[in-house]
Amino acid sequence: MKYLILFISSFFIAPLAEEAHEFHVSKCLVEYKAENAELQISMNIFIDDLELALESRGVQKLFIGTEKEQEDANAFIEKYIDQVFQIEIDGSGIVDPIFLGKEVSDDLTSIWCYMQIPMPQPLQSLKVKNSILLETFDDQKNITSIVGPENKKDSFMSIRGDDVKEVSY
Amino acid sequence: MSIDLRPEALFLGQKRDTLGDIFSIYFNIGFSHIYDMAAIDHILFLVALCALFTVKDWRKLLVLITAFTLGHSITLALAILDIIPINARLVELLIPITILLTAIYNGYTLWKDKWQSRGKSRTQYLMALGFGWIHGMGFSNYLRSTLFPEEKLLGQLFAFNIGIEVGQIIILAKILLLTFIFTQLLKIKRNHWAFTLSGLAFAVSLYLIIDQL
Repeated sequence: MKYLILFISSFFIAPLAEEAHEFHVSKCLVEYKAENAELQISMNIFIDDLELALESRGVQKLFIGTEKEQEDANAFIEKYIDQVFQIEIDGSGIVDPIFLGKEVSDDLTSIWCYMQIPMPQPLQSLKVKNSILLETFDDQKNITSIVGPENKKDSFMSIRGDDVKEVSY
Repeated sequence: MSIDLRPEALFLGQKRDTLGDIFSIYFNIGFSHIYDMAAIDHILFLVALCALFTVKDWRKLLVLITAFTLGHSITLALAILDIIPINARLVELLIPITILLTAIYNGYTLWKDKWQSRGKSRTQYLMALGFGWIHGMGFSNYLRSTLFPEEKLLGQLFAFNIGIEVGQIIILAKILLLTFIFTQLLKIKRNHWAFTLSGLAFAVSLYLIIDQL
């Protein structure tokens, strides 16, 4: 009898598993292209996570990647990225990247955002702060891959309290 | 912005250990993917798989876990290398079904009083292997969203898989410790304990299945 009670009571704790398998990650590629004299940035973010972050900042639901997508969606996304993703080049202050556009992933769950920074001088050092969604989810992880001059590669993972990487060439 | 005082940041430019960076990043991602309450489905599967065993049966359990590991490593690699296509939604539904079936198998074993013959049964090894395939596909969904395919793909895959295995070993050790505490110290009968674990896995997996339908 007591096992029956135990068995039935486990149905009541089952809803604790509600959040099962939600994972909070984003990835970002920062690539220096000497031949184009620019820094190219592509960033992959889950749409539902991004919308949650924007809503917590008072933005109405944007329906990103659907037919109902708000006209000003890109502007809100760009503004958000500017606030939480910052790049400093050669120690001379934060540079706002030019937002080129976005693309919905094949499985419709995430977007790729494309940005660019003109680089008239060769890249010497780079400081990247990637705190995308870190304030929204305590288990958020952002992986940033940096490809510098001569194809030198560095990667880092941002978590709360540790979201900056500095590279010199 | 905070100042980065980690040794690799201070010596940057002189020593560039990208391979080490990639290993630690993807190891961490793999480990935290399974060693976390958000991975309740994988953890519950391990609970159901271990429910019939105690520390004394470690040899049988080792074979069983090896079968599961072999299974998930194979499909994880095949999916990441784009050799097999993955339907993420289907996989997310199949994972709790593997837990449910394992729990039902345990219940059947306990009910039929096949206690003594447990572990001799090939069914369980095949189940662990086959269900491992499904869990591996689940891992691949996650890894894919963090991967940079143009970069050292095998290195990322390898580090992620090692992270998963280390997390899995710690979870197994904790389950066996609980089993030891309840059956040896608190003197709960082994089959009652096995039934409790299986019942828990059954209930939660049923909830996860219904939640997705």
